[in-house]
Amino acid sequence: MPVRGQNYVNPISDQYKMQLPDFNCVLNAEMPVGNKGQFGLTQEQIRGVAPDYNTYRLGDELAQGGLWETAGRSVDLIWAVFAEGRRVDTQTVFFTPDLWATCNCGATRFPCRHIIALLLRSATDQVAPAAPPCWVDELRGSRFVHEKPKDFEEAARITAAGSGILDLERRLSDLMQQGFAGLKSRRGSYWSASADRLADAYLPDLAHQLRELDGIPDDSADWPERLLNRLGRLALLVEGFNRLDRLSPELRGDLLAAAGIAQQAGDDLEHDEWLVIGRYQEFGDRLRKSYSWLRGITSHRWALLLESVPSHLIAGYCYPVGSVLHGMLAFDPGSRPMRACVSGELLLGEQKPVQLMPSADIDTAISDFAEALALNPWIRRYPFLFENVWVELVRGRWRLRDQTGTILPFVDRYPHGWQLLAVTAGKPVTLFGEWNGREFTPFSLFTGSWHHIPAWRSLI
Amino acid sequence: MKSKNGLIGAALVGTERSDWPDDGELPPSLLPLYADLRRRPFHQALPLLAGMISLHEDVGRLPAKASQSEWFLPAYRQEGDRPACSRATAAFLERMLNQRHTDLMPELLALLDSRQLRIPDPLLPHFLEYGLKTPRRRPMILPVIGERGRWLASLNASWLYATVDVSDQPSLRHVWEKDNAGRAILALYVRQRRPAAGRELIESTWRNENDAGRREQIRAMEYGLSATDEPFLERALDDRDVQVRRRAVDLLAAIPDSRLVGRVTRAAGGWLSWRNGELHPNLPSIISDQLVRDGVSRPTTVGMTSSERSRLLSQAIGVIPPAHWQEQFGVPPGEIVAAALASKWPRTLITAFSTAAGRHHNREWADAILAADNFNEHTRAVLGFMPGDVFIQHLQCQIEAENDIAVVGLLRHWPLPWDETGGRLIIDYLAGQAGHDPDTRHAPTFRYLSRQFAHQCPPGLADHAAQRFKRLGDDGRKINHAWELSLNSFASKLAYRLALHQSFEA
Repeated sequence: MPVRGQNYVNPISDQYKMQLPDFNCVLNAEMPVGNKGQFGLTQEQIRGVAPDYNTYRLGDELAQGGLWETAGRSVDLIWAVFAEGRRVDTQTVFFTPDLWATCNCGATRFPCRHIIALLLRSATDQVAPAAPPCWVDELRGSRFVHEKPKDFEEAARITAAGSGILDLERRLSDLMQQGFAGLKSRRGSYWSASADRLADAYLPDLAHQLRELDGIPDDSADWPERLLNRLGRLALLVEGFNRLDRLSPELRGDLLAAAGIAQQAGDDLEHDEWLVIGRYQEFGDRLRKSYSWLRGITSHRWALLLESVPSHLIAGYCYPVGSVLHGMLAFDPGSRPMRACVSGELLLGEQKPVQLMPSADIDTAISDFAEALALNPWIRRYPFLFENVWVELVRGRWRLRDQTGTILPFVDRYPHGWQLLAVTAGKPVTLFGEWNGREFTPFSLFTGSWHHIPAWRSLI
Repeated sequence: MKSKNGLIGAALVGTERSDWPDDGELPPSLLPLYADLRRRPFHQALPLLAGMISLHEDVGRLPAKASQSEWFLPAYRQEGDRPACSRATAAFLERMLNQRHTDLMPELLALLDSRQLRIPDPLLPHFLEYGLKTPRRRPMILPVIGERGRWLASLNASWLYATVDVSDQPSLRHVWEKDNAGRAILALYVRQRRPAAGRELIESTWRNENDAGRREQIRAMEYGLSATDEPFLERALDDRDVQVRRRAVDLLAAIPDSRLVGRVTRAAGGWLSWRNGELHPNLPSIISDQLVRDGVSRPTTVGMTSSERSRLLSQAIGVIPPAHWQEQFGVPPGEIVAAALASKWPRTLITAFSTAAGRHHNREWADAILAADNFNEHTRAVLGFMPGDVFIQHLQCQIEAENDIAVVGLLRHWPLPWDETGGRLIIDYLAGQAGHDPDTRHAPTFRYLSRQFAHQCPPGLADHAAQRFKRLGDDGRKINHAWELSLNSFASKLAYRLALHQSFEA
């Protein structure tokens, strides 16, 4: 049976190596198959895998529906085929030990509704043991892994990025000479050409930042100041890039990470049990970027796993919020190393409710962020974990307040505020989220177990 | 910062049209960098200078402090609140919010209420919002949001309707006064639980309500109707709106021994006469003002047309207790009904008698009407108060007699859920209908009604329905596609309801 999107070649990210099939294609029907409980994600954790509520809802409807052609589970995987009428059947597979999944549907979000439906059915023991079909093993061979290739050429990337940086520098100079006044009439288009060139120069993160600038002119009264601040940070990055050889390894690492240039894995390794505490995705330049925030249960280290995949590929790792993984992570160099990749394997560990020792109050967290920002001017996301904070709504804006009365504003038009208030009933809670320097975005909430907030039904 | 404003100004108009801002008010730590950047062309240095200043500001920015008066959160009283339903039930609730099986939402909410459970926390805002946008569902939502839902609603002005505590009079008054648009639904909700309190609320603003508001509010009086409502309804007989007056007549006619019933009985109790086993109408030429006030329409023409006579009969006789005729003529109901059927206005009289029997819950008359009138559509009023087991007996008799018209009439107008015996009977009957080839005359009606049946049938019969319908196919009989769809839909709805009920045991 033909499988769409089977050839998982990532055109821009050779940081992923292709893993060759490690065992024979056809499994014997008499092979031992997985028993119940071997794959033990709860319904709440499966919700925590979903990229958003809509995908979860569609997955739930699919799990209830009758489009299932076949489904089965084996020692280390579960799979399903969904009938699609006249179109090619949808084939979905989920590898249980390392939580890798793929599907040949044409969805833009990952995991797609088929993967969610398969997990939901599996969670309620509706998937019977069976020998996996051949196509499953072909997919097993085509999966990519986190580990970076040994022949990783960071220098080549930097050289390629140079032309994009030079173009950005010229663009900044031109704009400064001409002034912002003309930008209002060219809103939405001024930066797109430069962003395209940066994307071509393998600087996707920088391209993404540049595209964001198009929305700033005229969006509020203080837009010139906000635009100038953002351009100022970009100018600092360009300046830093031009002096890359003279920078300290930490600042160099921060700068390359800010530009979106993948780095050679360093020797900063950490083996631990890791709690998945937050997940979200970003889209742009034909890429889907999945961010997973992890926290070492013993080491108390933060780790941010980034998975960058062409948006047409429905494949990748599904780390459910609230699950515990065990394995070794290799941290990229940086002033506050957080960006990491997997060294070896990161496997689903024993599931237990973990309430981490959180950071202190808001003042301390902000002060910690300020220190990090002083070392790395390009920080765009910083993890904040709070205990004993209140969720409040004041003058139409949601915010956090701690015991000392310090407040932290949520992102504008935050869609899950009322649910947070309903769940917490006005009591102090443990909350994890990201701080971008101005606004806080909550990602997960602890009430005996961790809840993935973006997968809640939105009220607006 | 003065120098930053200078930079913004330069950035707006362009460095070609502006000069370097002075370094006044720059923090001392930035001055060496400023001096360094001055050696560069202004258009190159400007973004670097701006980046440097904004970084300096961001690093030093302190979070804001909340003032004590900014946020006062009322306390949530957990004691006495209902427990949240199970996760399995919550999944059903969430699916219904997503427009799946919304027709079962009243049943699910009623189940929650009967088991003293409430909606789980994360779904509370959605149900509050759902109630805001769908007022007709509020009476079902309000009991199951629990104390937590009321607490949450008190924090959002648009959810005011949900802050009401039916046992607390000040809370009722507050919401009644603040939420004009939601009064009719609130009246209905309160009447279902505390009829007297509901009537007091309606009366408190009755004079100031507009016509539409009064029409809606008087509908709520139907619930918990009793003799204590009579004075208010008597006043409503003089309302300026004709629909309100008619509704008041309907309600007063349903109160046994009400003054209106007495007045109409005295005025129109002689409109029918019994001579030689026949019923003869004896209508007056002039209709009194009092009778008009009591809901009898005055003829518009000098000589009454037949439709006007028919209307007079049905309006007056529909109010008079049927026992009156029994007493007056000295004959049993069966004979009177038979005479009515043989009279000049059989449909008018039978409809009026069945309306009166329904209003006064007269079983003897109901049985007589059903038996004599062959369970005609016009007899629906008497089904409303019939006990379930009697209904099933009637149904079984008609099924055995293969009287499909009567079966349609009974099933169409039976408003309550069936018991298990009735459920099995009707499932088997539907299966029998589906096996007919070609279709019977009433098959399309039964197929249409099967959607309603799926809600009335006890969910425990889901397996029985599935097996019975499956056996139909296995018998080798040809079933047309329309029946197949209807039966599948019936069986799947029943299975879904069964899962819904079982979720409470999870």
